[in-house]
Amino acid sequence: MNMNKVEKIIEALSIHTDPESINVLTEVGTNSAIDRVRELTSRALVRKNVHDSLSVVISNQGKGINDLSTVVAMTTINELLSLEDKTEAMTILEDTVNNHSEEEVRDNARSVKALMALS
Amino acid sequence: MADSFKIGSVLPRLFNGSKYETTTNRPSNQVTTGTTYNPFATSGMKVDVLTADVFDTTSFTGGTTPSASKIKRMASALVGSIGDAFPTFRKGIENITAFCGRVKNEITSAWHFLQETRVPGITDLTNSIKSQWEAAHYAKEVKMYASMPVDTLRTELTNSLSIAA
Repeated sequence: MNMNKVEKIIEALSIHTDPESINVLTEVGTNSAIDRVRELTSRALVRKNVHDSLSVVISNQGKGINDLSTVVAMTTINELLSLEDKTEAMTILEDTVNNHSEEEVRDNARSVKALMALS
Repeated sequence: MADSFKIGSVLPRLFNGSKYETTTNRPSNQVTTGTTYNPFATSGMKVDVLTADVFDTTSFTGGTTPSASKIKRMASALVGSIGDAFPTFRKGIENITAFCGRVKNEITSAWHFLQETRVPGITDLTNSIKSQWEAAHYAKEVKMYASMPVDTLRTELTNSLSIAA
């Protein structure tokens, strides 16, 4: 696998203006068996900083902050903490804490929300 | 002729000439004009004669006549200066030799310095330039991909990941 090429494509999708790029990242990137690809994809989705992309990495079980890989989860959290405008992320986190069906997802969202409130 | 020549009879005249000179008659046909004495006048030789007698001290107008002691001092100074010239010259040569040696040593030292010097941070600088170049190249390629349609990128990404799988 040409990892450099994959990195560049995911990076290009993160700055792409077409909303369809979120679907590409969600469908192809977050479902990859390779941790590095999921890590890069989660980071790209957070950088987009829009409702649809943040919902994927916050509210979906097994993706983003809920990924089974600690590296992927921590990278996503770190990227969320690095956002200049955290308004949309905080809204989604609060909504997840209050309304998500999975307790594990709610707990993760609560922890990240607390970290973002402190940062 | 060789029998009549005896050293003993000549020596007094050689070393005490004034005694005999006082009784020696000068030829009357020698011409003496002022301070100029022409010894060739009687022989009829036509030669150029200096109009001024450079050896005549009476024509010296610079004031008092230099005394013999002064001349001796001057001559001594001249000889001394000649004698001192060689040590000075030798000293100059030694200075040049020392200078060349010093320059050689300095060049050698500089060469060793350059050989042994490891400029701290030069590796970091090289790595920094390399990383900057790679970052610029990376950004250029990302920009190229970002200008492509999303469907093309989906295909490219899927193909790259499927190859990996």
